Amino acid sequence: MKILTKSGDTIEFLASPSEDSLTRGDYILIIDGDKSLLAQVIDVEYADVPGILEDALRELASESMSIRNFDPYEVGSILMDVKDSRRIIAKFRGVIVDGALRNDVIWLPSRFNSRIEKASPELISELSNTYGRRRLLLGECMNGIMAINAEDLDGRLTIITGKKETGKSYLTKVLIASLAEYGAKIVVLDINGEYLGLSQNLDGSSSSIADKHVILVPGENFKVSVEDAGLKVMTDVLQHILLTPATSIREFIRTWSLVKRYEGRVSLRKLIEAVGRAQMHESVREALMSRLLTLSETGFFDDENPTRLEEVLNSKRVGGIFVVDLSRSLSQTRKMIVEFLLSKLSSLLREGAIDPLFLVAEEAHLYLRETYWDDLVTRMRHTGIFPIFVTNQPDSIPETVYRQADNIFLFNFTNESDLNYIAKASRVDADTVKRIAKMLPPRHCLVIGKVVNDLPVVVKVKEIRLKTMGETRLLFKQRSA
Amino acid sequence: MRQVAQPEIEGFESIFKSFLQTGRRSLSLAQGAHSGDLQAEDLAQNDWPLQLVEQVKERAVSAIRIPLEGAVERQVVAIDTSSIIVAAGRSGVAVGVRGSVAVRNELGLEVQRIGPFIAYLTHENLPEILGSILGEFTPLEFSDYRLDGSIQKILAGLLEKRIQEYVVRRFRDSIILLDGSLSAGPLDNPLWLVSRILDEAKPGGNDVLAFSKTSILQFWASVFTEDRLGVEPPYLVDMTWLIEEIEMKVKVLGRTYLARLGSGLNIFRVDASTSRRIEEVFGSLLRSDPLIYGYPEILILAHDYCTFTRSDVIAIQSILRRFGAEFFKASSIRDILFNPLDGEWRR
Repeated sequence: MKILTKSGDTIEFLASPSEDSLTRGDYILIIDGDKSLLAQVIDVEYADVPGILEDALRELASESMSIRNFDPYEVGSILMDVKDSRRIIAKFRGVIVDGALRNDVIWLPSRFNSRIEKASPELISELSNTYGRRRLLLGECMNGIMAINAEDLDGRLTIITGKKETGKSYLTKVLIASLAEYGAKIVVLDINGEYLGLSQNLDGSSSSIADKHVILVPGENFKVSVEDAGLKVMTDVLQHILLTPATSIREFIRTWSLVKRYEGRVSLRKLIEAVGRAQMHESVREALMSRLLTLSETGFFDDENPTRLEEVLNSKRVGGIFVVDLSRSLSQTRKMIVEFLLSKLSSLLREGAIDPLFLVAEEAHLYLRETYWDDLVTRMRHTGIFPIFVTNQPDSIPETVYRQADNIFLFNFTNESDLNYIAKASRVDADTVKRIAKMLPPRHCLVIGKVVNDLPVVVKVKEIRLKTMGETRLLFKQRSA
Repeated sequence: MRQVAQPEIEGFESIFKSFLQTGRRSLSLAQGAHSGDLQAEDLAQNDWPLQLVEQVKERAVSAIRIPLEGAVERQVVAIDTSSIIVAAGRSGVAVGVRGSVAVRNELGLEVQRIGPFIAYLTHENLPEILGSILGEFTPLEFSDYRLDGSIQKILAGLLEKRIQEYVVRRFRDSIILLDGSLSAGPLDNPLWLVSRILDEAKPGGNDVLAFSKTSILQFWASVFTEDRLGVEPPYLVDMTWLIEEIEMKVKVLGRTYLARLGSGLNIFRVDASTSRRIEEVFGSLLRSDPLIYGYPEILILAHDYCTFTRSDVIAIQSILRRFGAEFFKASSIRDILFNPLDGEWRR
């Protein structure tokens, strides 16, 4: 392999086809003296060999002929190598000086005297390692083991994205299972019921995290009182989810205060009674009454036996995965539950009633109010909610959120506009995102960000024995069996 | 197509055994050689004396029509070679040379590439290497050969002769097309060798036609026009009398024609050595092989398959590198020395 060019942060190499096979994401070391340049392969193309068009046309034209060669010096085999030589496109990732990776060193190795070799997985693992002692095994990278530190997810904003059936949920389960084993608490907003089986292994036996797995089914073992929700959450629900007019909201706030003052405690039943009795315009009464009855019909509100969220969360002292099953809820109810949950978690954290936690939000655009995105990645993060967004529609997450993301786990995308969207906002150059992500096989992801010390790596996500329940249910699978 | 069963084209290892041995041995001398500018083979071009032109203009010349009706399809074999200087050192040059034989018959088209052969030519080993191409018995006057700009052409010419000899011995009842002329005398066309090839072609019923793309004879096409001759292509004009009339350093074996085979403006010099009537041979050629701009396609194919591409040169240079040759673009030395910073285009 020889260095061909370096332009900006792009380095191109010329390689013979017989050399070590390289794949996108692999690292190359260019060693010259006591320094080494580290570059990551983002693409492999045919080299622009002089006269290749002429050769190719000639071979094409001679397909119908019988061609025989007497080639005493076996130039033909060298020629095949020449014609098949590869142009390896790589991105500069830094210079290794005294064992440390540095980006501030301006240095170029010799084109002809440097030694070029594939970097070892151990070196990449060492360079991408950060300070931390809670190792979280992700899978394989360059045929070696790839682990990150759980501390690098702590307090961070993480995004897991890729097209359907590429392994996003699978990785999410790997991450949360490991985090829980380290004592972290994770609330999962489960829209597809994919996280309900984590207490079981594939063979039906009890999993290692079974005792940390709690399923919260809204309306069944997860009910709240309106008092617990509070006036702000209730007005937000009425205003943003049930689209209540402003006049009616004002009447609701007045009614809430009256009930509180005269009854000492607010409940949904008392609010409905008060709205029925109070003096207000009939249209306002009708608007409020219909919406309060809708809230009542969700079954999520139970003023007599509400779930004490802090008690649920604190019930697991050494880590827990709290799955809020949204799969059976209607769209409006889902939004209501999330509105309550986020508000409640924030207030509990502010009060110090619960420990900081991770919040896994799959396809959050389906239940997260637009104004909540910024709240989640700024204010709530400071109070102790560390979001992990999982989506197959990258543009459903605002660009500003990507810009603030500390870690991105990027699975395959073939759609150019999806790649462009991520490329312009992620922590790595657009070329890397576009060229690598486009060709990633299933269960392989490009890891970008703090977890890998800003050294992008392609990881094959490890297999887990947990019952994942993420597979699509098929109609015809049963027929072919 | 009347077809005689033809032999397999093979046996090159033994035919070129001597050349391969001396060539391989010479490569050990390539240490320190560097890449040279890729040189095309030179083409000599002379002017005709004005007096002769005036004389000939007055001469009665008739055309030979080529009848296509009743012409017999025959096997056509084309031979060509190509050479290239791939490196130059203090004591000599490394030359790559390759030949090709293209055969068209009722079975289809077959191309045999022979080579490339590689040799490092020095003043000292030149006689041995040139001699080795032609085999054991080589009555070449070695003192006539110089290591100068013509040497790659000579090397290609001698290889071509060797392949021609092989083909005329092996093939029967074929029209054998050569690139160039049947002129004997230049160093790459020894008289005895050209004569031998043509003599050996005849017993097998082969007809030899040598097409020259760039001949000073083509000038006469502007004198002997279709209007003057009163014919439509395809036709021939016998020019042997002109060759015999003028004093030339070379001897042309066979007869020489101007051939306009297609309807375009292209006209070629063709030297022919045949025991058949010339119009019969050309009729068969036109029946058996398509024309590209009035030139036999199979000769173009033979040329294409021996010509060196840039990839070929890279591959040959990589072989020479094993023998210690260094490669860089020779012309860039000037830039390195005199225009080190920004003078790429300044001279």
